[in-house]
This record gives sequence, structure tokens and C-alpha cells, in this order.
Amino acid sequence: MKLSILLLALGLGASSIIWAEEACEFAVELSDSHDFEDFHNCEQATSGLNRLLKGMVKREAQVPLKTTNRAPARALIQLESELKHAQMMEAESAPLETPTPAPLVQQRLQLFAQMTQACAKGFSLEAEEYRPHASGELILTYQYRCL
Amino acid sequence: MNKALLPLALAAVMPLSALADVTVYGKASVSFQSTDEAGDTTTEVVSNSSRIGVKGSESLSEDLKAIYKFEFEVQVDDGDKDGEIFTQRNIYVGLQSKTKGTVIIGKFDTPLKVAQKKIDLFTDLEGDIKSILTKNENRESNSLMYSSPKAWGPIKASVAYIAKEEDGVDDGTSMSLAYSSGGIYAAVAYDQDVETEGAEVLRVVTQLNFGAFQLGALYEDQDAGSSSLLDGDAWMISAKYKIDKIVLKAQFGESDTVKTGAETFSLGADYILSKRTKVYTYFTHEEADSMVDDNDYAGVGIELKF
Repeated sequence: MKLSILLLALGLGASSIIWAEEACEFAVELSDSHDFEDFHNCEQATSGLNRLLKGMVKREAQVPLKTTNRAPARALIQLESELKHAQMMEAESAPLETPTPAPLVQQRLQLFAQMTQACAKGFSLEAEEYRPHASGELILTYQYRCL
Repeated sequence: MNKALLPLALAAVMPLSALADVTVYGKASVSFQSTDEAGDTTTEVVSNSSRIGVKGSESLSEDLKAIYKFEFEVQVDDGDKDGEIFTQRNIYVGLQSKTKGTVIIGKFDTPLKVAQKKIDLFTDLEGDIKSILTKNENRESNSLMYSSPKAWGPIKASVAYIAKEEDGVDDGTSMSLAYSSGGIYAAVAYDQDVETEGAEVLRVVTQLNFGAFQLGALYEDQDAGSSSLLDGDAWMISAKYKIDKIVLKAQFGESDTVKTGAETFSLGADYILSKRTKVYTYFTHEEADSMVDDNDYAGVGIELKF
């Protein structure tokens, strides 16, 4: 019976009158109502603690960003470069059957080309080593760092 | 750490950008009161629902925003309530659309409670209607509510579902329909299984504002059903008159739903010091068939809103 009265009232309430905008009350007053739009839309940050809080947030929002969309890629390249600089790298030749001048120069040129490709900004040689291979032949190894 | 402090602690360490639309609000209301209750007379300092809250929102689209509110009661007089510095009031999170309405979930006042609007001129004081007139001023946990948008004009509808989270116990429902325009407010509200399983409550409220006068009336019918509540009805009327910075208030009510043969009246006056601050004084009398001695309360207090 009580529910039917409520439904009847719902039906009678169908007619509407122009809704007048009311001035904002204090949030604590609106808080006790279910006027959620007024409660959440009214600006009550014009004084006191809320003014301070809003001001801090605004200032933070106005600080220009130090990074752009390109920044991550640039940062990765920089990081890779620094890692290469820090890391000792090796370039190793094929076994030198006979360490005669012609093949040795050819192998050196191949290793220099390899190191140039690995280090876009250049490289510094840290060591030049000749180690025996299992077959008894020599292997030329360059230890280097990227610039 | 006190659990109630956790939300505030979290707020304190959150980056400012996450608090972009946060507003702190509240009020301190404290009175110095003479209490004559059940034959015992005492003098008290009473915190009258002093509270602090934070609210905010995040715009999700032109029509939709996420909203939240965390509101806690603070005992300005004693510092704590049963060991808790902050006790939970209305707390929710939800979505709000200008065209479709608002949905919130959390703990908050039922539509039936809110339907009384500001008819009760002594709310939060000893003369509050929940003292002796009604048991249905409820703030329910585990609630989900829809509330109609302002776009509906003078009509406001709210429906709440209250999960009791107990096997074999019926969940509660509370709903209200209100009309407000041109100084006239009228509402009808209905609760089922809210205060307790089996109980039904119908509440009708009206408020008239003309010039400096405000008149209010409330009627409530409580059907206890299978519950242990009392069957019966309650009613109250209130009047407020504003003269410059002084607001005179009077209220009278009768009820059989809390105590049989209960009667109460309150008289009071506010003196408005500023938009935020007022001082007030009040006197409340309560009696009922089951009470050997009447209760009387008289006090003077101050309220500051922020």
C-alpha cells in the first residue's frame, strides 16, 4: 500500500517547472543533501586552506614538462652510448694461417670496419692481442671502447 | 596507526596532481549544556556532529565525472569517540552524469533520511528528531544508490539498495521522491528492511518558505512487520523566523515508534556573526509513557563552518 502511494506520487510528479540555479552553499551544508551536482560542482576553494591547496596544484600543473615524446628514444640512444663507452669490447679476426703482411693488413682492415660500424662516434683501441687458435693458427683480437 | 587516520595520511603523501580537485570542508559545533536526564543533572560540553571532510572529482568526459567524498565526525569536546579520533560519516565513490544522474557506492544517509531536508531545526542537537521521534534517520553501510540529475527540474528521485551481507537476511531498500520549487518543498519516502528486516516505513515531508518564515511538517508511519520495532506513527512540525541576524526556532513532535507516548518540543535562537559563524542557544524537553522522569536540555554553543 505504501509502495503504491509512492508510485502515485511519482506519477503526479511528472509535471515540471523551470529549475532555478541557486547560489552555492557551504559544502558542509550541501553534504547533508543528495544534491550531488551542487555539492561537487560548486567552487568552494576561494579562501582559506582550499585556496592554498588549489594554488599549489595550479603551480604544479604550470611547471613545463622536461621531456617530450622524442625524449625516451634519445635517452635510450644516450644510455646505449654510455654503456658502450664503459664496456670493453672485442673484435676478433679469422685464424691467420700465415702471419704474412698481406693477410694481416686485410684482417686488420676488416676489424677496423667492424669496430667503426659498432661505434658511430669512433673508438679507441685498448689492446692488440695475438692468441693461438686450437688449430695452431693465430687469431688477432682488438680490445676497444666506443667514444 | 589509527585506521581512521589512514585516508588522511594517504592524502598527505599523494602527489598534488592526484589531488587536483580536492576540497576540504567541515564544521565545528560545540555547546555548553545543562542536562537533566532521567533525574540526573549534569553540566556538559557537547560536540554536535562536528566534522571534517574531503571531496573531489575527476572529469572523464564532457558529461561524466568520477566523484568521491570522505567525511568523518570529530569529537571537539572529548577528542575521541570510543577511542576513535575520526568516526565515519558519509563516504562514497561514484559516477555523475549531468543528464543521467549519479550513482554512488559506499556508506551514506538513506534517501528516506535525507528527504526530511532541513525540517528538523534542531538536527545534531539534543532535539534532533532521531532522539525520540524516529528510528529511521539511518546512515547505512554497503549501500548503492542512484539519484536523478538536476536536469529533471524540480523533481528529485533517489533509490538505494542496502546489502545486509548476512545469509538469510533480506537486503534493504530506501527510496524518495521530492519536489522543490518556488519556496515549496514536498517529499515522500519509503524504507523496506532498512532499520531492521521486516520493517516498512513511509515518510511524508513538506516545507514552506515565504519571506522570513519557514514552516515544516513531517509524518511517518512505521509498520514493524515481523521485526521487534514498534508499530505506530510519528509527526512533527517546525517553524523558523529570521529577523536580521537573529533566527528564532521552534519545534514540536509526538511519536509512538521509539517510545510509546513520546512527546518533545524545542525552542532555540541563532545569532549570526558571519556567513560562517553563529552562536546559538536551545532548550529541549522530552517525555514518554515509559519515562519516569522527563528529560530537559538547555545549552549555548558556537558553530563555525569551513
